[in-house]
Parts: sequence; structure tokens; C-alpha cells
Amino acid sequence: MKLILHIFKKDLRHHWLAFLVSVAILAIYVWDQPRHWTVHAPDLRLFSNLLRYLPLFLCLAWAFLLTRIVQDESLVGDRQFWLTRPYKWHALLAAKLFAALILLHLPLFLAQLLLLKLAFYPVLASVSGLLQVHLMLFASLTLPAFVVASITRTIGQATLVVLGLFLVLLGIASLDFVFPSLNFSADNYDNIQMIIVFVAVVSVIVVQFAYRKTRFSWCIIAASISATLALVFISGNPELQNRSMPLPTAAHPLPVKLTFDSSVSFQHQPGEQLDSFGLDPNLELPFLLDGIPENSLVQIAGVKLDLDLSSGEHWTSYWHSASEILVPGRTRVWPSITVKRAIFDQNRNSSVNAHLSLAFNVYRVAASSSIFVMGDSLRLPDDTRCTHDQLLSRMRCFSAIKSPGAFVLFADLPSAGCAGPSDREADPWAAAPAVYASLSDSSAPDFDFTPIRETYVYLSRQHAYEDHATGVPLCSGSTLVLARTKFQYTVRTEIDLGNIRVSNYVPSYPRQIIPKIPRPPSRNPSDTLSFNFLPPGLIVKVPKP
Amino acid sequence: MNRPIETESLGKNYGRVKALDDLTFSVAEGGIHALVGPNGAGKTTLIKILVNIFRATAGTATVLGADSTSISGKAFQNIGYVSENQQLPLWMRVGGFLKYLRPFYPTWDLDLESRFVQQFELPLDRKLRHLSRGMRMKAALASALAFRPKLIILDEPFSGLDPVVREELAQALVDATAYSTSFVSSHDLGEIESLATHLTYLDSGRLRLSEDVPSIRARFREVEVTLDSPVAIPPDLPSNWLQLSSSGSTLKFIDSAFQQDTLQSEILHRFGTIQHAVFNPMTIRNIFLAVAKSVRKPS
Repeated sequence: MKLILHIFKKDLRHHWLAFLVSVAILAIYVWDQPRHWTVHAPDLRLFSNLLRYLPLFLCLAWAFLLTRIVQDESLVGDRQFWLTRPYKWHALLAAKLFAALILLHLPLFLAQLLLLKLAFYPVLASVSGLLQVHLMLFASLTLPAFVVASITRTIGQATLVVLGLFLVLLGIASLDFVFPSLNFSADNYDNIQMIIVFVAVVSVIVVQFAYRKTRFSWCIIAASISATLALVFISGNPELQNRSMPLPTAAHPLPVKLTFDSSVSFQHQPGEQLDSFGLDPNLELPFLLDGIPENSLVQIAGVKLDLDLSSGEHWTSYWHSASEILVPGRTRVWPSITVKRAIFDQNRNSSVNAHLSLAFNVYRVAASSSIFVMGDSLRLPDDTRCTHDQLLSRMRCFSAIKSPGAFVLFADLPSAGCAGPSDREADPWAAAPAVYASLSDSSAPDFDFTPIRETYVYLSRQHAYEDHATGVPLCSGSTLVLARTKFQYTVRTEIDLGNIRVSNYVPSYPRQIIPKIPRPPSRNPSDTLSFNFLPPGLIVKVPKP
Repeated sequence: MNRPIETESLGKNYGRVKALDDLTFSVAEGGIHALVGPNGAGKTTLIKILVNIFRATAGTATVLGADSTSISGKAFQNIGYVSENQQLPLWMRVGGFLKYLRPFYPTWDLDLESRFVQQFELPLDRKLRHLSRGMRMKAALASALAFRPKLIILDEPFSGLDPVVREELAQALVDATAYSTSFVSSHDLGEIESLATHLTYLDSGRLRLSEDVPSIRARFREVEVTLDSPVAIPPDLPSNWLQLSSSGSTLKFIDSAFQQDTLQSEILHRFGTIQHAVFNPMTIRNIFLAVAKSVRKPS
């Protein structure tokens, strides 16, 4: 321990200026944060713009500091004086890690405690969450900085390595442009990738500190990149993708009954361009919807379209991610999928046999309670405090350490007492309630420098044909039904659409659907929850304040 | 331990290039053991294998009784190493540098440190980056000697230094023989000839010579023999006769295994009567030149 402190003191003496710079940036960050909790409109002055980049500056300052500290006893080369001095590699590594803890993690930890205090969140109760955040920071910044610093001799070399690795990662992330099947990854492969990268990072650090085998370390890095790349391709394998989204079983039934409604399509004006500004056109396919069980919520998680073209060829879109939420009360849905422009152009006026695959995530909705917008504020689970952002008809919500867990909000909005802009009158609302769903139920805290998490809650409601939704206003006294959700299972369905004409399903502008679908029966707007459309199991009557 | 350094069939390849080839030698305890050889002979490679900066491709090396591949951490509390191209923490002041190193060595001798500081006239408050090459070398040497290491390994310590600094460093090394063995490499024999007690000569990665200095001096003689009549040089002469040449009835060569009686009878046996024979002792420098030439152009 004595030697660890001795080496640390030497590093601090050498790099005190870089440390001070990082502390100064952190101090400005702490000073600036409360401004974000109160100011609504973005401030476009130069200084404010610079402040937006403080997290980036902090990362750079810390990466610089850590790199310089590790490179003080460079692990590359054979001329460093310390190589023939009585350094123990584990003491050296411990000294550098100690420096990272004291010079990076400790100031940030203290800053985060201060921010919690300033935001009136309980400080002690947040400590374990903060420690988890620091574990994430350690794994995502400290350890990678150690890796880069341990295989390079100078800041210049380290910068080049970072740029190189960044380009490699960018290349991997862009692979789905070349291989469309990689757009959608099968379950659990992200976790395996993270484990591979973590093992590689730790291995490189140990190899460098214990043996200084830089070439071997580069081999580890190359192997981990190759393994990551291989996993990307494996996870894009259609067979594996299908396996992670199984067909329905008795235990995991299809949560919704879908019928392709070939009687409706978009109406285009003569000569109307369907080229979406030269991009690949998007098809929206109309389905009638029925049978969403009460106490359930369904998310369309993936869409895949297969076409048997008139030329005899087969075309597939491969799986694409989606996120549309279906709640009881919905009668229609229009899954959306992009078709390659060349395929569309060749087949726009001909009839092609189409087959749609849909993947659903099914969530259970727990017993609900009613909550109210009080003045311009709202309380959500996990001590989440929201204020009304009048400008954008949404609630800005703040919570400590992590965003509120998975929940859903329903509301019969707009209502008589809380109406939207008058121009919406021409486009009536669907019967289904306005909804906001946050479906991430991870118990881990969110990784961010600030412990005050900001999320936006905005309810949106489908219009009459349920082909598009619009945000609804929130007013003081608006009643919302809040319920926790829990993920149940993923299931997929395969639907033959028969012969379709693809151009019929490219949305027209303005959107015009033929034939006109009967509008839902009009009802008197109300500022209380409509018990007609919300599943009875979801309703818990609470007295109005 | 009477052999601080021992190697056995030591080899090091850089790709196809053999930097060290089948090197077997040892360094006796005490004294100053000089490792000499021309540039590129493999001296630095050998030293870096001994201090475990490089790994040997073949063979073994033992330093202070331990396999060189295990030399690290605590083992360096007994080894003082200084190299001409060592990268020192240039941002440190001389005093700070010495102070920083103290806790690493339980045997650090503050009095000895002060003596070196005085002897070398080291400016304690000046940063290492602002020191001349000679002063930097002196600071490095002070830091490598102040803990009284059992083994001092110096790689070209005198290279590029002025004679005064060289003399100061040499004196420090001589003083250190009281408690340690020094292993000092140099490409310039003249730098080290005066203080070496033992010599090892490397050339093209191969060991050519490794003995104590008196034995080398005793073994080599410049021989000039005047015969009765001119002679041609016969083909099968003893291998210890180096650089043989004849001019008229005069024969000149260097005997690398000199014993006067044996040599005289060998000459008589091969050439008949001798009019006159002179056996001149040689300087170490000339001995090494002769060895080097004989290796490159076998006579």
C-alpha cells in the first residue's frame, strides 16, 4: 500500500494541472445542471452551446488524465527507467487504478451527491445506485482508457488508436447498410458481445502490466473485434432471429387477432410522386385488430415483409425493429416497413404476393391507479417529479439515478376541459385512449454523469383510422390512469397478405384513405376517464383531489 | 554466490538475424567486468536479456542466482542498471528523482546518496530535462548506486561523455567494487580498459573472449622471428597463431596461447634454427584488434 500511495503521489505531482482542468470542467458541469431543471427553451448563446458539450469535455479531460497517468510508466518500449526498478506490476496497476478512483471517480461521486442534494433527492438512499453508475463508468471509460494507454507510448499514439477503434466500431455499426439482415439482432447477443469486450479489456490490461507483451495485446484486441464481428453476423442469422421470436404456443398465445384489411388503401392524386424524396418508400399495411386481452399491452417489436415478385424473384426486407404500442380499445394498426426503391419501382403497378411477419412483445398491466396533473406538476412512480412543458404539450420528468420503471399511462384526452388546437377537429380521435408507455424495466441505473434523470412523458392518441397518432394536451386537473407493466413473452405471427399492389400502401400526402372508414361513434368529451374504453381491471377509483 | 551472471548457450534472433548466438560465459563476483565489442555486436541485447527486458530465443541466463526471465520487482533491489539511452522521468528534479526512488529500496543509503550528489556535483533543484547528457548519466548512476546493489549493469555508460565526467563515473564504479560486481558494456575499449578486471568480447553475436585481464595479457604476445633463410608459410599452422605474415626471413604473428618454451620449440620444429625471436606483450586494445581481425579474416 505504501508503494501504491508513493506512485500515486508522484502521478498527482506530475499531472496536477490535467487533474485541475478536469475538476474545473466538473465544477462548471455541476453549476450548469440545475439550469436544465428549470429552463424550458434552449438558450442559443455561444456559452450555453458550449455548456451542452460539457459531458464530452469531461470525458476528454478524464481520458487524457488517465492516459497520461498510465503512460507515466509506459508499458510499451524497452527504455523506460522504471523497467529495471523494483516495481511490482500489481502495485503499479493498483496505483494507477487508485489514481483513477481518486482523481476521476471520487470528484464525480461528490459532484453527483451535491446534485442530488440540490434537487432535493435523498442522498444516502441513492448511494448504491451511484456506485452502480460508477461501475458502469469504470467499465466504459476508465478501463478502455487504461487499455489504450497501456498499448501506446504517447498521447498522439493513443489518439490514433482511439480514432482507429472508433472507425472499426463505426464500420461494425454500419454493417446493416450492406447486410440488411443485421438490422435486427437476436436475443442475448448484445450481452455476449459485452462479455467478450470486457474480458478482452481486462486481459489486455493484465497482459500489459504483468508482461508488457504489446503485440499479444493487439492480438487480443483483434480477436475480440473479430469475435464481435462474428457475433454481429450470427445474431443477424434469420433462423436465430426466428428462434428468438417463436410462433405462438398454448402457454404463449398470440396476444391479438390481426386481419389484413385489403379493402382500404391510400388514395393518391394523379401524378403524385411516391418517391419519398428519393428514399426507399415506406409501406403501411392496414390490419383490423381484435382481442387484445384485458390487463395486457402489446408492442409490435419487429416487422418483416416478403414479396414474391412478378419476375419470379423473392425479396425480403429482413426483420426491422418497431415499437408501436397496442392497447385494449385499438381496432386497427398499420405496420410500417421499408421497401427497396428498385424493388418498388419494378413492381409498383403490378400485383405481388406478400407475406408479413410480425413480432410482438407482450406485457402484463398491473392494477392501476388514477393520478392527476396538479397545477403544472405530476408525480410518477420512483419519486419521479414532472413539470408541464406548456410549449410542447408534454411533461418533463425528473428522477434520481434511474428513469421510472416500466409503466403505462392512459388518459381520455383531449377532453372538454383540456382541448387541443382547433385544427384537430377535422381529424377526429379514435376510441382508444391516449397512451404513453415506458416499457424498459431494467433495474440498473441509467448511465449518465448527472444523477438527475430527465425523461419526457407525452401522451398520444390515434386518430379515427388509427393510422397515425398525435400528442394530446395535458392540463391541470387532467386525470391519468397509471399502471405498472411487466414483460411476459415474445411471439411472432406469419400472415399471408395474398396479392397486393405495393403502391396502394405508400401513404399519400396529405394522408387520404379509401374507402372512407366509418368514424367511431361521437361521444361527449369528458374530463373524467371514460369507463367505456378502459379495461375494467385497470380502473381503480380514487377520489378527485 | 560467486557467479552473479551466467549464461548457457544463450541465443536471440530478430527474425532471421541472429543477434546472439550460443553464448556461454560467466561473470565472477567482484571487480569490473567489461563487455566489449563493435557496434551491433549484441551487447545491448545481451544486457536487456539479463535484466529481463528482452526474452532469449534459446539458452538460459542466470542473474544473481535467478533465471533472468524471472527478474522483476523485488529482484531489482539488488541490481543497479543504467543505460545510455534510458528514458528518465525528465519532468522530475534531480532531488525529486532520488527522493522518489528511495522507498523502493530498503538498502538505500542516504549518506552514499549525499556523497554521490557531492562527488558528481548534481544540482538537486534542476529538472532532469535541463541537464546535460553527462549530468543526466551521473544522476542515473547515483540513483543506481545509492542502494548498494550487489550487481551493477551499465550499458554504454561512457558513450559521448567528456573525459572529466568519464573519469568521475569510472571512479564511482571503482569505489563500488567494495560491495558489488559491475558489468559494463562499451563499444570503445579505450573507455574501459583502464578499470576492467575482466573482459568479455562479443562480435556479431558470438563470444570471442571472456577472461580476466591479467590472463588475457599473459596469453597474447606479438611474435617476431628471424629465420636463417626466407620461408613460405606452411598451411597447417597452430590455430592460436593469428595474423601470420612473412617478409624475407622474418615471420610475424600473434600467439593467443603464449607459453615461451612451447612456442620456441614449436617454431624450431616447423622452421629449423632461429636467428632471433622477440615476444612483445600487447595492449588490450591490440589484442582485441587481433582477435577481431582473425575472426573476420582467418589467417
